[in-house]
Amino acid sequence: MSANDQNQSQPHGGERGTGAAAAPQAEASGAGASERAPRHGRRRRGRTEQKPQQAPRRAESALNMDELRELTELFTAHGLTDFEFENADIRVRLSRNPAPAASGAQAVSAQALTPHDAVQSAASAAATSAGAEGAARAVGATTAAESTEEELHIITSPIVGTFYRSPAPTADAFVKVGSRVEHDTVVCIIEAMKLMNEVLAETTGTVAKVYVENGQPVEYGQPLFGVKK
Amino acid sequence: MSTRLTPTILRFDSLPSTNTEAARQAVLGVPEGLCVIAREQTAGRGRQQRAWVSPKDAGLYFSIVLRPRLDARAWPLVTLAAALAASDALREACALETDIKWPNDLLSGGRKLCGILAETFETVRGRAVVVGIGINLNNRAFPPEILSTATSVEERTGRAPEGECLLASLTRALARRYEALHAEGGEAATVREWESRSSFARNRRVRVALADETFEGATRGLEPDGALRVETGAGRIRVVRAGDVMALRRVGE
Repeated sequence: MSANDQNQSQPHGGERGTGAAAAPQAEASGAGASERAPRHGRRRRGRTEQKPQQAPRRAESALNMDELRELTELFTAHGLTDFEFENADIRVRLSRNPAPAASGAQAVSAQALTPHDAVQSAASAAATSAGAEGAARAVGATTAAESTEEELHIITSPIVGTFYRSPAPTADAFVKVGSRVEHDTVVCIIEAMKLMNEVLAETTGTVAKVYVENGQPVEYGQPLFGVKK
Repeated sequence: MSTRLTPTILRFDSLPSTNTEAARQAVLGVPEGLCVIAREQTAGRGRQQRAWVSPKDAGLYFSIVLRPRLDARAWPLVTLAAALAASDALREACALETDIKWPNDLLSGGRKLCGILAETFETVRGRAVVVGIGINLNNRAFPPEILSTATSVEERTGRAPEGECLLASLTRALARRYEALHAEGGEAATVREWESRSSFARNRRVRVALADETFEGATRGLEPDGALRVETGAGRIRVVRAGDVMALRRVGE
């Protein structure tokens, strides 16, 4: 339950214990963002408004795969939530998505806004290679017009501990999918060293996703619930 | 920045739970240091809403409101500091030495003498933690099911403890341990103190019961946030932050 080396749901796997969220370090070099050495430290803020996630599509690319991969790594390493890059041929926009329910991983969506509607497979190939490196679990590339999923407010864990959906093993869950929450609604408890941490929704809306199972260990900043406004 | 804690005591004859009353006060915005005690609790509780048996004048039922100025990740250390304080107080007021079972139960003669439960709450003055401490003074009213696992100050020392004296020692010790936790290097120092006071810190064979799994291993000290490191074999270390830890026979025995 709380022996947290069992935790498989983190995208980088490197954080443990007190959740040392490594400070990002940009290394200066001559040629702009895509040349910077990526670092895999991760800094997740408590709560961020999330952008829609789209299904992977292909996009015209004047950006090569390595560049796109580096961009996504930088984006992840620096804990950014939005990034835009533009030159004569291409405009790239990265924005952080809510974690998919199955993996709890972070997702990054790359939108290539091209002057042509033609699409190529470069971006999805980049997605595969970036995913393989573990820098970003999901990289989707799409045209700007498509946006299907509604925005979810993600409630994240304030500490490392064990996640409980109810106050006692036999009690009802604080909230379920479909539950209406207000700012002061208790959504769960995270236990660490017999300190029971009440977690409040701190938003209003309806619970749309529950990312963690009862009794499972959670990391600092890990998504717990998705709330639809 | 130094932290001074000045305990103020609110006394009740009977309460459902001192933690619940302290939490109510915390939410309304009382300053830290407010202590709630009751001669009996009608709905005393422990971890996961387990009942804490609290008959009249058979125990010290105590809760304190704290507003730690610590990183959220260090807040669990408050419960370890509270265990150290309760241990200090029993030593000072009752001349009783206790062991600390991870994370914060006090044992005497291998049986439970004191339990601690802490809960956080959002309040009008920011996040607060209520630390509840229950100390068995005598075991006259123990139900049969806990007789073999629980003990009391009276049973261990052979005389009825002076409750007021113990309360005074406890509030002083809590203030001291809490202030020490906030001092420069206080988090690491608290972990070291805990490790030096507890036989569970190192080389103790334990069984750890989690919600969906039980495993055994040998303890290997604490993480910086107070989590227990347990080596389960072949050098594999598991880090425990919740669950029940039970002692098996000592390594080498």
